[in-house]
Amino acid sequence: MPVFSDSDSVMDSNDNNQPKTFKQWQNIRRARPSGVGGYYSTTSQKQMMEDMAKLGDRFYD
Amino acid sequence: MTDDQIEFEDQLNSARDLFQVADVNFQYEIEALRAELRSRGIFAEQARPTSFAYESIFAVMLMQISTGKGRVKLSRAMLSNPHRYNVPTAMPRDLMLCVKADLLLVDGGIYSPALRLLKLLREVRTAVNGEDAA
Repeated sequence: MPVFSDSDSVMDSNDNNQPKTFKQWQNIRRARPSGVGGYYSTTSQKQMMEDMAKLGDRFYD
Repeated sequence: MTDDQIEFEDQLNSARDLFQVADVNFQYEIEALRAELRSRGIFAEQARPTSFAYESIFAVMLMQISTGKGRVKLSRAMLSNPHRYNVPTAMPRDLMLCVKADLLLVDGGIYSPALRLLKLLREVRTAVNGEDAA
């Protein structure tokens, strides 16, 4: 059983392939706004745009 | 300058102030609009940690343009030399990108909200202010 099973971190390998919703991304913003893999990093922002495109209207669910 | 216009510098400073005091719900709206703008090709292609404050302030300014006096005047001198007027250098480009994306209308240096911006803002607010948003 993973120790951080309910974490929304983009660094988690568990669900990295699953697109995150807006709400999950905002949880990351509150938990870890900056730094490597943080919400405002280039990588995360790019990933969020990809998730947005993948999920479409479901992004805000 | 007429009563229904506001100088760009005043609008920008007002957006900066509002961004500084944004509460949790407003932060959600700002982030959603910022993401929607980025998905429409506004802002530099490469997102950088140092640009998020600017992008957020830009999003706040669009919200204000859509709900405030509605018309913002940006002089040609400001467009050409934004740094001299304490205007972020990327802002003239992003305003023009908003015009190209049919979010803003421009006529003689006066920017006003297009229907598409009003619709986008309505959708963003509905999406993020739903159940358990904050």
